[in-house]
Amino acid sequence: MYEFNLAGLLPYTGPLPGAVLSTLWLSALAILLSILVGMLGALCRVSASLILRFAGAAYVEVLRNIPLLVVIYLIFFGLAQVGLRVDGFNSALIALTLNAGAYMTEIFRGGLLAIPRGQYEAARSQGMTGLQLYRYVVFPQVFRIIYAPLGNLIIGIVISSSLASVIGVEEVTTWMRRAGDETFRYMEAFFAVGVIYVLLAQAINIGRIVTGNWLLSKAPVGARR
Amino acid sequence: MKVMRRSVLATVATGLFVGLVALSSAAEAQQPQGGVLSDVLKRGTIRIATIGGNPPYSSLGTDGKPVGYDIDVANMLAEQLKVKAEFIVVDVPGRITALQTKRADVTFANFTANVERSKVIAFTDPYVVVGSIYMVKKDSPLQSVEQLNDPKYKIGFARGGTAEGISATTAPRAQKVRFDTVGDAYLAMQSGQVDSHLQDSLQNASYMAKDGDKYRNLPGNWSYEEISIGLPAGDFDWWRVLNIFVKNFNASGDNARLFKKHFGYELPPIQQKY
Amino acid sequence: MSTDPAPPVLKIAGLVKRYGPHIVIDGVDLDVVPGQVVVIVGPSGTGKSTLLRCVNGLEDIQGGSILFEEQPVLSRSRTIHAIRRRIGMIFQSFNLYPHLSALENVMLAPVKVLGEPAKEVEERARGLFRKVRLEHRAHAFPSQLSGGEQQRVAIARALAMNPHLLMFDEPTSALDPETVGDVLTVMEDLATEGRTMLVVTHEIGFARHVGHRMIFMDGGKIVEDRPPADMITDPQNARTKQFLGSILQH
Repeated sequence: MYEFNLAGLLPYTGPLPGAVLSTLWLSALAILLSILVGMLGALCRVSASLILRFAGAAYVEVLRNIPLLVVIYLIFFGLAQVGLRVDGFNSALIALTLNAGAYMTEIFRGGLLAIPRGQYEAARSQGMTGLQLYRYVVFPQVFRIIYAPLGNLIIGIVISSSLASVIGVEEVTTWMRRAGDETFRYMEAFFAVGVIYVLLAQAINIGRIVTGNWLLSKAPVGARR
Repeated sequence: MKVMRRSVLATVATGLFVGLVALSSAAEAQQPQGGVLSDVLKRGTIRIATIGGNPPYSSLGTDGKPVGYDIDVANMLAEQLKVKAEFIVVDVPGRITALQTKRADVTFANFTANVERSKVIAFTDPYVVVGSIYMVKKDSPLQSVEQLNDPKYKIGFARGGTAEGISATTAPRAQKVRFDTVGDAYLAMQSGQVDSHLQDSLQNASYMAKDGDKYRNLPGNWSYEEISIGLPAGDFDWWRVLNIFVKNFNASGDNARLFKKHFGYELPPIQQKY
Repeated sequence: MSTDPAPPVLKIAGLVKRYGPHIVIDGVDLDVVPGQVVVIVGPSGTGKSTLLRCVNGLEDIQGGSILFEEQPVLSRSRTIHAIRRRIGMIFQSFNLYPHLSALENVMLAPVKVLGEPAKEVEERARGLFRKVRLEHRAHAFPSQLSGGEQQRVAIARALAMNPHLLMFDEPTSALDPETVGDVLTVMEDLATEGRTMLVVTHEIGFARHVGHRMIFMDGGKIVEDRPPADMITDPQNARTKQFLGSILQH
């Protein structure tokens, strides 16, 4: 007979806040870093340089075709075998960043391709350098275009961060397993963590919407609507 | 903000959905039982939970099917019951949940009987008795478990096993790194991600037989564990059958033979001298 | 007008532009002095737009030279940004920044590229909106503006940089006929102010009333270069005659 009883988890709620913070921190860092990787990767993929285009395409194809779990193992165990010891948290962060960065690259590339040539020419004709052009003209438009797929991917990163548990990172999924191990309330632990992930993903999503609205509403030159 | 309200709604809706699913599966698990023994005989199949990545007890062969000592023991049980053996590969904590949720009829998986677990599932008499050993790399500076009990050292082990409690009492101050399988924890020690691997003493013996030039053990055996067959709680008929099987298995020499085949040395005595 | 003693703002000599084996500009020489309005006409695909794009380094060139205020225009050099800041370019398709309001479109480059204080730029921008007769539309977004309005914002955007040369690349070709007049009026005002302008257009009326020089290009070459009234009433070259004939029939 299985009696579903969430209260059975109560003795083990102590480590939960730390686990939630760990998941949030890992996800937030991975999101920020993978956005940077995605922007650079996309610029490589649309670059005039054949070498950069090839490097960008190779990165995307390789990383998209290796399961995240394998990337985590490769970094945590593989690099350690050759003497480069990266701890669990950072291994997971690097793996998440590389994996999500590949998807970000494709999303940003799609956004870049949707910007008409005329925008580049108008910006260049005003004397903008490459950096100014991307910062003030191209990427603000790209972010508007990729807003929805970006949100999906960001939630995906939060969800995927649970794989960090396989290399001993103390985060929400690890908490779930230990809480189950210690209380034998596995079903309740699964359930609680399911709800926690929904809340975390939504918290990050709300964060995305708020920062997005703030960024998008922010007039770049001090003028206000 | 409209979007935010929408996402809050989504959260609530998802929470409700997850809740309903969980409750309905819990309700399913509460159906009255007709007894596992009669179910197994009627079905003609015994569902056996086991774990991968835990040689020589059980691991997944090249064809993805489980192999090992526990697998052979389980097959012998199926043979004697004259039913088909169907293996369900779970993770370490899954050994208990599979029985709790009635997804498996038995668990054969290097499974230590203890009081804590007996609150939710049942165990037979043991067919092997093991201890727990801290293994380190040969060139490690560590000489004793007292030394290891230091926040600068990391102990790796498979989560959901007895190592959790043993490491907490023997080296409470060291960092603990939990892995999904024994194999991962062993690999973590090999690659230097942890300083010591807390492992089953029999497993340790076979690791040492294979890689004894690379590793050594810290002195001390830190547990007495009876490896037994796990079964759902509260089913006396099923327990009675399984326990008879274990007694005969131990007495007949079948155990000694299978153990030697997989571990490469003689089965240590199962009766502990107190 | 061509007797103006001031040194040329723009000096093009022997310019050659090729795309692979295809020659688009085939040895063009052209000097533009300050205050001059030069109108370039000719059949499509004859290198007029490419010529403008070469002048502000949007295209690299394969032969000859372009000097803008005595500096060579080299598309990949470090000096190109500084040169472009002094040349205003107006495109056929406006190319306003869609994520910014009209006012922000005008202010972006002066603030971010020239580093001028936003307050001053805003004041200047408001003046420019009056000049292009759009002071009431400063806070609209490009998608809310008609083609003619967008093109006038684009003109204001170019003017905000205080350019020494304005280049118009078929500024009215993408417009509905009823809005063409507004844009041409603004361009005429600019010419009256004494702005130096290089205009690629099919608006022969504009060329006749506003232009100081009219250049007919064909096959990547300058075929005829004369005061507009002379060329329109008495084209010398057979191809010029044929081209003007076909345009004026409409």
